[in-house]
Amino acid sequence: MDPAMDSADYDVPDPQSYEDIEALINQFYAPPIPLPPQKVHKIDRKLHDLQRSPRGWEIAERLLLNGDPTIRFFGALTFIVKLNNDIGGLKPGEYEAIGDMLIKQMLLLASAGEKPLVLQKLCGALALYYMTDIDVGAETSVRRLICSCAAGQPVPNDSLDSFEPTEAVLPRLSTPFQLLVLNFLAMLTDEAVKRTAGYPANVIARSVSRLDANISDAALAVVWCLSPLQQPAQSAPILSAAFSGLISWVNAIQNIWPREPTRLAHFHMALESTITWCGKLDSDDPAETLTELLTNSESAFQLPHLNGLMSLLTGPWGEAHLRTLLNGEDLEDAISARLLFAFGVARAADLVLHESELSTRLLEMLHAVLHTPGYPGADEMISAEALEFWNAFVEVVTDRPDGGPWLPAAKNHIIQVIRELWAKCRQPSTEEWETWDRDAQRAFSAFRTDVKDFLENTYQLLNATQLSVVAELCTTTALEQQKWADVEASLFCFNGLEYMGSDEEDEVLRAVFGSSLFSTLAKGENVPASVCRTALNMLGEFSEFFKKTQAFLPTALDFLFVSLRYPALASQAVISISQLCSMCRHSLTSVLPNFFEQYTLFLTGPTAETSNKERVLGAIACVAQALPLDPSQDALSRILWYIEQDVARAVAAAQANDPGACQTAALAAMLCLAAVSKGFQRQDDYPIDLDRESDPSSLAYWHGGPGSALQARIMESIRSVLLLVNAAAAQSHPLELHGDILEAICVVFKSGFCEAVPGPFVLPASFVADFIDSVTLSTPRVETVLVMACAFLRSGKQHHAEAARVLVRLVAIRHEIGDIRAEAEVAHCIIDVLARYMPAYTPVLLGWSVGPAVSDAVLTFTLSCLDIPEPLPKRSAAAFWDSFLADRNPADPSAFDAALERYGGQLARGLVYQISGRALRTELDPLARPLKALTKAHRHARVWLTNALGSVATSEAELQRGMQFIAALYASNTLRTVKNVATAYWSECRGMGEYTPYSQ
Amino acid sequence: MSLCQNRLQEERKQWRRDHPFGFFAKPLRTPQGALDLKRWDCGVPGKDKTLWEGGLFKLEVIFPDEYPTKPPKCKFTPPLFHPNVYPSGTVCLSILNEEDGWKPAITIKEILLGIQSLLDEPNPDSPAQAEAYNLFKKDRPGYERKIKSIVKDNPAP
Repeated sequence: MDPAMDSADYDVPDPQSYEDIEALINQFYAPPIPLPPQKVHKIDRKLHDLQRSPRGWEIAERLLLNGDPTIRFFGALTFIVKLNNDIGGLKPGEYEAIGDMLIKQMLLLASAGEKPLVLQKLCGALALYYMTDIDVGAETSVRRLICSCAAGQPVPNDSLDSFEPTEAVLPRLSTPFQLLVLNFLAMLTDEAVKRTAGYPANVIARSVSRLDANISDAALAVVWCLSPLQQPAQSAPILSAAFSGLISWVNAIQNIWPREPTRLAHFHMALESTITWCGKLDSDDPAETLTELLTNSESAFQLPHLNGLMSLLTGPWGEAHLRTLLNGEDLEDAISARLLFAFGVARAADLVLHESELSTRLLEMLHAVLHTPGYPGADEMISAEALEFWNAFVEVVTDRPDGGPWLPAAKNHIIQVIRELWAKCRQPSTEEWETWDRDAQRAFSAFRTDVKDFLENTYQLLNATQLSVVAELCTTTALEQQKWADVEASLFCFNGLEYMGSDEEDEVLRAVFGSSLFSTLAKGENVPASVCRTALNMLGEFSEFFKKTQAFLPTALDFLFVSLRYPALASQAVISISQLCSMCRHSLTSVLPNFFEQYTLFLTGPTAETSNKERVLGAIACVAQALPLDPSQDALSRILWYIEQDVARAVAAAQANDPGACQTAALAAMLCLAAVSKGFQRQDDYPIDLDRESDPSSLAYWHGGPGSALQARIMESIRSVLLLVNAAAAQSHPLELHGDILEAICVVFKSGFCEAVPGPFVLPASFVADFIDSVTLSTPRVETVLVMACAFLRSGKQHHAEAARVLVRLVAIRHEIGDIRAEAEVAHCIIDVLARYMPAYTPVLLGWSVGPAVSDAVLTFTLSCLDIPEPLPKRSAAAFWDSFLADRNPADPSAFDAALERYGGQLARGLVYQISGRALRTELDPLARPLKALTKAHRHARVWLTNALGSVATSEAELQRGMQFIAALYASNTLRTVKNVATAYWSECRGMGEYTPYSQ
Repeated sequence: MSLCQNRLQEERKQWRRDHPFGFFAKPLRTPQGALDLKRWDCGVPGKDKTLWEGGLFKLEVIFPDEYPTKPPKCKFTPPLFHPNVYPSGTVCLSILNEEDGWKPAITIKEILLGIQSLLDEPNPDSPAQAEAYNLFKKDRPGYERKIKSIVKDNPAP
């Protein structure tokens, strides 16, 4: 559509009269036929322009006189727009006149039965009127409105003193005027509170002071309107507005003056009335008000109020509401339960520490609500809210580690709650679960998670007792009678307990794990998947117990391997198998043959996907690693056989021209090999077998000795897979998983680098160097290979020839790069590798074995990375030079000095270039390190820095500033001061705005 | 009680009262069993309908003495594979940067929700680890496979 035509079609002509304006408002709010959004937008703009025009005040006043409430509403809105934006242009006296007019209209309209929406908007306008920059007696705004209501017309501020006290005026107000005053009260706190954060200090102080001055009049109005003694009794709208007024004033006072109780004292009577109304009024308002105030402004309540609430909750009102809940009624609102919880939280310490008849009854009620029928989250929300109270209860106990006579009773309450929560955690049947909507399912799950948190919080307090309580719930009877929901809930609660390893705990756990639980579950007859899932989770959680108590491991693992064959359980089973095999490897060696059988069986099933295979094989490798040398190698040989099967599959698929199957099998093989290499890593916390490790032929054992056959098989698998992917790449059929395969191979290498002593995965350095040397810029995941190369250089100090080969390869990749900014990630990784040459291979880096050209290319490259905006290579380059400058080799300082003489000037320029405003703020710390090192590294450093400044400064002033920076730099002794100096200089450069940004 | 402790007590109360689904956040205990309000154990679930759905990622939130004037440090344990997570596990997020988006009014709930959003919406302008950043930038299918595998290893209960 042509935008010009579009615009013209929806044009709104300027209104020529008030009637035109009113027609426009009606069109906006209630068009006879729906208007296109563009038209609505144009009308909105036109009306807004009218509001903001100098005639806006007059228009607002005129609109308030209209017979249509929609138009009057817009009039009130216009006042708000004007008060927010246009009070600056008013002449003296005009502002006061606006206030008079507003009050006058409010009185007229309220008397005439105006709609609540319009009156509320006008109250909002009046509240705003009293909170602007102009002071027109805002300190008495509440009293003025009350007196004006009594007089039926606006009372001037200077006549207020001639009126009776506010409490004497209030009884004369009619119902509409009482409502008007209450609406204004709520609006006034809103406007004031709005101005207590994010505003200039003088505005905050002014708003707070204006509110403060009105507190006593506001409280008198609320107290009067809430008084249960009024005759005739107040209408529901008055009470409702008075409750809102009470909440808004008490909360505002609590927020602004949190530690000063005097102001809240004005509202004590109103709180008392609210408690009385709870028992008298057939509405949730009073209970909701009390709940809100107990939650947010607890300090407003005095002892008599709290006693009153205690009597209310434990008296007929509370009992009646509790019965309703337990009958399954009123589960949606359950306001009485919410008041019970809010009161409980506020009085938690008292309930724990001081036992009385009433407190005992209240605690019984707090237990009783957990017996509300239905599933938490799906049928009722009360249980979830009850947890807040019980958490507070536990906190009171745990915060008093010295205990007291109250402790046994408190512990009994907690044990009782655990039983009640256990019952609430029981899952519905699968059929019922599926009928719930997603929100209900989530809410139920969230409740169970919260219960788990609660159990964790209480565990510190109850220790083994808690385990026994849960264990008792998981009875053999429940298992025999196949009460699966009971069994599942118990297992779930077990998962929430924190196992500390005490003898008492072990005794309880021995009873649980020694029962027929897992053998029953492993048989799998009629057992719901959810029960098995929770049980699987439990096995992982208690791996520390199994580590100590080996007897139960085989049964548990049998169950795990059975579960592994079921798609619904496999992923959880895999995690628990990994955890148990890794942690309890030494206890499981005797059952390793069984694991191989189970693994073979698993491979024929539907769950034998790569991710499961690699994790299970990795777990088996953990156990194999724990065996003595010879059986360990036999086990590894068998594990490698599985991997070689996948390699053979990959080769066959390639020959059959099936690249998809080829890469899947190749990746499976390498991922499994990676998992096995990690499983075979020696455990730091396990004692070294001195006879085995100290054998001087150990290295020879693996490289050329009996162990070399295994290493040869590992290398052959890697080689075969690399041949496949390289062949595919060479034929321009690059495999999608090529990068994943290389990454898995890198993991295998890295596992070997981490080892302190030789082993099957500590592969020959030349093999690793061959792999790195085969990489080019276009190799997928070249960065991952470079990260692996970092670990390679860090892993040994004797591989000079291999380090030199890698360096030459790095230079070759660097030459492939061309524009560094286009390959910033690779550049970053290359520099990271280069930094790893120091200190072990610094001579290689400085060209001893590879020649000066390579060395020159390397160092120049790192300096180029200091001249670009990309953060990663820049950060690496700064770290590289920091290491370089710290690595002045005492054996051959001349090579270092020569390199520094050659590159020092460029380095100084690169650093100054960045610090003079080009770097990001977060990059200054890494840049400050080499800067500090440079000042100490060479006698010419100061000259280099000065020259660098000369080349980047664009004016004499900048140069001067730079010289001051260098002087300050040389006066700094610590890295911290250098950072501060650099940051200050950087800020100045940025502030000057004269630095040249990067050319894009 | 200090401002920091007061605020953390309040945060704890608010969290208990209302926290988003699937998240957890609770102060850790010292080896002696006392509550350490300045170190929280937290869990952030992957957002629905994203690659991260079904995962739950644990992190430690460490509050400095100057909190809430200064932001807490959020650290995934173990370090998470993500472009905006440093190799140490520390999260790089503007609202956690004192000199950037941190405001004392930001709650723990907002921080954890912010981290949840970051999971699926990495900020490529602020890379914190090369490994995840490179894969994210250069090999999106490979990145997605990796995330799926991480989710599988860190399942939500």
